[in-house]
Amino acid sequence: MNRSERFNEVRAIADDICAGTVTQAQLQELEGLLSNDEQAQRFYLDYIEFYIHLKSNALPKLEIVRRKTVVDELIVRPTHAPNSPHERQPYEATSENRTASTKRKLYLAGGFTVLCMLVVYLIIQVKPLLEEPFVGTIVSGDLLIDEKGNVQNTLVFSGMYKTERPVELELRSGDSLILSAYSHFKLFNATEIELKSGEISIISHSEKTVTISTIASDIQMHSGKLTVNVNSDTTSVSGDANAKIFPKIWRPKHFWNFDDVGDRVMDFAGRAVGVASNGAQRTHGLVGKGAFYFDNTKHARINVGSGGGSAPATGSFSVINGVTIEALIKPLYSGEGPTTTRYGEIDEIFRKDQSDKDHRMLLSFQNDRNKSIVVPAGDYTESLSFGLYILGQGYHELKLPLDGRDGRPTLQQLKDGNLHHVVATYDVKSGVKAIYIDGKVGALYQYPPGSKVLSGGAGLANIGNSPNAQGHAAEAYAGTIDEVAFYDFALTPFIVALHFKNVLKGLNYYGKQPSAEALPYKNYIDHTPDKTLLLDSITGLPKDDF
Amino acid sequence: MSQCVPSPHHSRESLNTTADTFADLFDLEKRRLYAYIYAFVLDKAAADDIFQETSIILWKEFGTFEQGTNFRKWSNAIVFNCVRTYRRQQKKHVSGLSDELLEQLSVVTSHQDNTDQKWSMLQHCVSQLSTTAHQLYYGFYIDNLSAQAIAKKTGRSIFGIRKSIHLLRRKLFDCVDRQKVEHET
Repeated sequence: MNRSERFNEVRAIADDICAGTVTQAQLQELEGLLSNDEQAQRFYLDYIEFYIHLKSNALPKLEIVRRKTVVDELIVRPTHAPNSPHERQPYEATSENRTASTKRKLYLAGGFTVLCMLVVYLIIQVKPLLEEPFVGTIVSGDLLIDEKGNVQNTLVFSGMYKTERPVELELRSGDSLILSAYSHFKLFNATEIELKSGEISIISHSEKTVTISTIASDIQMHSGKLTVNVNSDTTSVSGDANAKIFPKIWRPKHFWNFDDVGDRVMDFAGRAVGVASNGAQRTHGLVGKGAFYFDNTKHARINVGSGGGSAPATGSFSVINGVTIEALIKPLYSGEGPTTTRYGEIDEIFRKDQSDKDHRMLLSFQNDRNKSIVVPAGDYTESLSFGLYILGQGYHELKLPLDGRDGRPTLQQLKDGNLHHVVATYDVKSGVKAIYIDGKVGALYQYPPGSKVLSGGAGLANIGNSPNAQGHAAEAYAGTIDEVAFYDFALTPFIVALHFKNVLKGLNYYGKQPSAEALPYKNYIDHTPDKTLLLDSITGLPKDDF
Repeated sequence: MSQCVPSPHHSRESLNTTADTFADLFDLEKRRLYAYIYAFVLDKAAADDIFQETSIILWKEFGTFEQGTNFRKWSNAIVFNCVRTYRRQQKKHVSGLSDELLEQLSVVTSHQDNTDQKWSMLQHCVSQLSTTAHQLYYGFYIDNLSAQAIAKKTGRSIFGIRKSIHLLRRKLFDCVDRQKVEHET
């Protein structure tokens, strides 16, 4: 007997609670059914939680908004001269009929005034410098006040400004700030500046950490000279300073690094906890403690669910700006070609679809012939394939032939017993679809820029197999897979190469020691002195350096 | 009504990280927390109010949460305190379950398992529904149509639709329970 049969009466009342039609008599009955029965209580809570989870509008519409305001906005100013002696002061009322209540109010008001003055005096005495409002002084040029700015003689206060000609400021920290003509920026304080457009150079004299925020990244430096330039497409960072770039978007949606233990496969970036079937066994990590070995049978799979999707373009596998599938592999793919059909051996590294049909997304080894969905079309044999549904185009697969030409590896080279890094990306803004092996791009295709992806939905995602191939082993992976990451944006070529470099050092993709812990929410990339880094305008990730 | 609350426990430098961490943890747990509140007060308007108040208190108290410990248990305790406070304040108007049962339920929730996997299993169960059941699921739970609107759309009686919704919910609940047992064994 299942739980809903066992607790049928509780369930019936819970259904009426969900429908909003429960009566007082039913509630009394529920009280009796639940009292001192832990199993019934557990069922009741589970059932109500189940209803709330199913009903997409059950929760009130709330959002958490983080507001970034100007720092040091609190300004203590001298008070104005007292009111004219001709004006009647509230406490100078002359009425003979003043009541005791009025007297008490006046005493209270007087006491309150004295108390306020005392607090102001203490603030001024205890923190004489901390609340000083001005941020720096103008050395040359003029600032135009855009919003809440304030310039008194040469003193510059917190606020938003523009320039029409080059301007040099000396910040209170002693650092120099040089702004190009037509820059638009916000001064928070002497160590925090937001650059909206134009160019800022910081020359550090104080060795204090200075943060320059742009729309997609924060840049921190504390010595030398650093120049940040923001235009409509790109942000560039250059100079002789060591700096840290904190991109706003870098974290994968899902990250299964397999360094955990137990019967579930933890997702260290999201909530797509996986279930491994018995053809997928934990083994030594390609980096970190653990990886999974897939035995090429129909049970060689880790089911990581649908990401909560219920319809196309919903759930955590649904993407807007682009997508990346990244993994480390040590393949044993046979590479067998087709015999009776168009399809030869397929080894899925990652595949999301099931009932979504054309809206699938996959990265796999394939060897097939005459497939109309291959774009660009060609005569391919053994290949790495990246399949994606692009609006206006349909479902297409990009092939990276394993032919040993133009710097591409052969299948045998991939089966050399070493780890290999495979990455598939699609960037909506540029329309570029790419497959990388070991940090280098091996296949590229350009769609019309802005072409969107249709993904997500109710279908399941599997690592090491196809969720559609439950009863056979035609798409089962053979070999080891580690560090699978799924992103809702395209990693840049620079970052793909950096991830591979980090992996070769035994670190995770993000330059940290591998561990069974959730990924942090902030991460940085080092800027090398005397190099120029170009940052992506959506993610803030470095695209290129020179 | 919107409420703005500065975090009292962190310097500005760590605010971004703290806020992001809170937002992510809260996002994972908010449906469960709301469900508990709803299960205790049995009234949507009251549950909405308590949920909003609870969200703010969770943020205000987030400085006392130790990273790496169990956010679920920590947040459960705050939820129950908020429900208790609400019931105390609204004593005349509160109907439903007794204080004694509330205390018993709070003990049960502290022993609830990790339920993340349950929702992955739900997707599997939804994918196995018949076309008619899937249409009902989609209409009622995703498009948020009322039972009356579905009845009008399909030409069926509202009682028939309500019965079908109850059956559908029960079927999915049993399916997830079954899957959970299979995975545990």
